Amino acid sequence: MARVIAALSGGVDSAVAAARAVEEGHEVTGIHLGLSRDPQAHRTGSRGCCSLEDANDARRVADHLGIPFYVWDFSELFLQKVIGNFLSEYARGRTPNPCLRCNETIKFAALCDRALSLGFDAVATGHYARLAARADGVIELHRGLDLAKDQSYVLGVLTQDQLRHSLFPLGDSRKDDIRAEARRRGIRVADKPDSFDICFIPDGDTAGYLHDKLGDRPGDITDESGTVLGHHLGIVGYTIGQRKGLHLGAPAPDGKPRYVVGVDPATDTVVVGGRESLRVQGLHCVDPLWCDQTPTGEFQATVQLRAHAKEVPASVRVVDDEVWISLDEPAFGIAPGQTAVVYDGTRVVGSATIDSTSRAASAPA
Amino acid sequence: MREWRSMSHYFDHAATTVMRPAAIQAWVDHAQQWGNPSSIHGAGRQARKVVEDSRDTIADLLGVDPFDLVFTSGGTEADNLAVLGVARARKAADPARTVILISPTEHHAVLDPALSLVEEGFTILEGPVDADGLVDLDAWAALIGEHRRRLALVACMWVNNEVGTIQPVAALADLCAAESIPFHCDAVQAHLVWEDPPSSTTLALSAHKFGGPMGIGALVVPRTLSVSPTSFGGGQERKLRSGTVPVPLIASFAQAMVAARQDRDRDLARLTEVSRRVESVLTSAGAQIVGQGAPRTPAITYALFPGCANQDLIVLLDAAEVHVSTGSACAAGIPQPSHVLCALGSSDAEARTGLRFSLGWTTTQEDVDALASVLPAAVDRLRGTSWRA
Repeated sequence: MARVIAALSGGVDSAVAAARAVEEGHEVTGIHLGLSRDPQAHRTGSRGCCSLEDANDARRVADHLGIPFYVWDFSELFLQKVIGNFLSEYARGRTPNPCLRCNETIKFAALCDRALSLGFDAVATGHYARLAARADGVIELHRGLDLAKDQSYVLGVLTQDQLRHSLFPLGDSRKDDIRAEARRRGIRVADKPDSFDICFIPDGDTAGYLHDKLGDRPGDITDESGTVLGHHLGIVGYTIGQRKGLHLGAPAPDGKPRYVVGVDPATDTVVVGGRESLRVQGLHCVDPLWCDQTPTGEFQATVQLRAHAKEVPASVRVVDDEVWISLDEPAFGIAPGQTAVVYDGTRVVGSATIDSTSRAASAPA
Repeated sequence: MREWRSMSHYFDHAATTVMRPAAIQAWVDHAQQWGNPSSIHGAGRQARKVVEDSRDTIADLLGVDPFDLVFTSGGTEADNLAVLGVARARKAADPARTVILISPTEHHAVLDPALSLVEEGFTILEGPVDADGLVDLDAWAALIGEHRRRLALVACMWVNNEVGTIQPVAALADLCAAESIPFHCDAVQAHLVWEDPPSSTTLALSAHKFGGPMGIGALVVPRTLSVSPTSFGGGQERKLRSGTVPVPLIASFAQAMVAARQDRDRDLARLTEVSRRVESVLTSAGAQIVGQGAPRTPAITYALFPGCANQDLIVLLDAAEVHVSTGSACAAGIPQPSHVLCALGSSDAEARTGLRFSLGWTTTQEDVDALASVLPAAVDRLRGTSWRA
C-alpha cells in the first residue's frame, strides 16, 4: 500500500483511475488542479477540466469513493509555464503542445513535488499509458493497450524520477470498458464527454485567442518565390500544414490546394505552397528529455510527431543536447515547436522539441 | 458519522459550531408541526406564535424591541440588507449622501454589497486599521466629521471573523449617533464578548455561529429607520425580507441563543484558558500570532507559519483529524490570500502561510493535546520543502 494522490479532473478516466487505486489498497487522496485564475462557472464546448462545474464533478467522485479531496491552486505556475510558453512559442512562429508542457511542468513536476513533500508516494492519473518495471529496477513507459486512446505521446517528457512516482491505472484498459466500469461503479461522470482541444481556450478558437493575447501584427502571404498573394493580421493564426482559412481569392496556377509551408516571425511573412513543399524527412530537435539514460550515437526507432499521429520509422542520432531524426518515409506538415517522441516498439525512449525541419533525410554528423 | 465526529478535533468553530442540544430539540419538535406563520387559520396562528415567542426571546437577550428584529436567512443576508437597504434609502432621502465608510477588514458580506454600490454612484471610504486590525478611532472620527453631510452609512464589525480583533463599535456607534449617521455592526462572531452591545443602528446575527442551525439569522433594524428592501415577494418581516418564515429554524435559533447566553460566562472563562494553551502550542511550533496588540476574542486565533503553505498544513492536519481553516473566502475551492491579513499589512505570500484556529463551546483540552501532538511535525515537514506554486 502506498499513499497516493489521484489527480481528479472531473472526467471519467481520472475517476476510474482513482477508483482502481483505492481498490488496490492504496491510501488515496483526490486532488483537483486549479489551473485557471478566473475559472468559468460551468463547462462550455469541449473543455473538460477547468470550470467550477468540473471541480465539482471531481469533488463528487471523491465523495463517492470516500477519499479526502482538495483543490490545489497551480494557476500562477500554469500561467507562467504553460500559457506563457504557448504564447511565446506562437510569437516565434512555432506550434507548441501545451498538454506536454503541462505534464512536464505541472502534473508530474509541481503536483508530484508537492505530493512528495507532504509524504505521499505517488501520483495516479487517468492517462492511457503503461509502466513496466525492468529487472534492474528501471521503470519503462509504454503505449497504452488501447492504441486509439494511447496517451504515451503527451507523457514523453517524463524522466525516470517522475515515472517512479507515477501510476497509470488505465494503461491496460480500453476506453469503452472504462465507461462501462464507471457506470458499474456508480460514478456519475460515466457518460461525460471526453475533453479535447486546449483547456484554456474556452471556445476552441486558437487563432482568435492568440490574436487577442498577442495583438495584430499584419504581414504578407507570399508564394515560395516571394510573390505577394495576400495579407494577414498576424502569423500566429497560421500553422505549417494549414490549408483552410487562407483567404487568398485566386486559386493556385496549377489548380492544386495550397498549404502554409512556412512562417517567418522576423518578417511576419506566411509562405504558402503545394503539398510537396510540406514534405519533411529530416528533423533537428533540441531540449531532449529521456525516460531513462541518455541514448548515444545513432539508432533505429519510430517517432511520433503529433498526439494521435501515426508513428514513423526513423533513424535517430543523439549528440549531447541535440537530436537529429531521419524519417524513413517523408512526413507532411511538421512545424517547429512540435514535439518528437521517440519509441522503441511500444516503449517510450524520450522526446525532444523540433527546432527545424528539412526535406533531406540526411542529418549532420 | 457519530464516530467520525468524536474522533476529530475541530478548530473551525468560527466557520460553524456544533449545534446546542436544546436547539436541535427545538428544531426537531417544530419540524413535526405544520402551519405557515402568515396563514390566518389555527395552524397558521400556532406557527406564528412560535415565531413571535422566539422573536421575544431573542430580542430580550439583545435588549431590543421585538418589533425591531427581522429574521433573515443568515448573517450574509442581514449584512446585505443593512448595507444596501440603508445606503439606498439614505441616498433616496438625501441625494448628497453617497459616501459609505467601512473597515477594510469587514466580512465579504459587508464589503461586497458596499462595493457593488459604486455602480449606483456611491463612494466607498476604507477607514484605517492598524497592524493588529484595530480601527484607528481618531482617524475614523476625523473621517466621520469631514464627510458628515455626505455619509449614508458607516459599518464596522464587532469581532473580526479571521483574526478575532474586538473593535470599539460602541465608540463608533456614538460618533455616528452624534451626527445622525446610520451605523451598521456585523455581530456575527461576537457571541462570546457580548457585553455592552453597541447602540448601533443595525446589527447582524447568524444563529449557527453559536450553536443554532444554519440558514437563519437576524437583523436588528429600528422601525424608524428607512430601509429599501432588497428582495420582493409576500412582504413578510416588515416587508424587509419576503419569503415564508421558517418556524423550526427560528425556534431553534432562540433556544441556541438562550443556551449560549446561559453558558457565556463559563465558556468565556474556559475558552480564555484553552486559548492560552492553543497559542502556546502555536508559538512553540514557530508561529506568529496576529493581532496580539489588540483586544481579541479567545475564540479566534490567527497564526502565521513562516515557510509553510497554509493549504498544505491543512492537508497534513486534516489527515490527523485536526480540522483548521485559512479563514478566507473560498469561492472556487481555490482559496485566495486573506484580504484581512493583507489589510493588516501582510504580503500575499505571508497571508498564504496563515491559519485560523477557532474555538467553541465543545472545544476540550483533548483537542488541544491532539493539536500539540501533530502540529510541530507538520510544520517541520513543510519548512523543509521547496516546492512553490
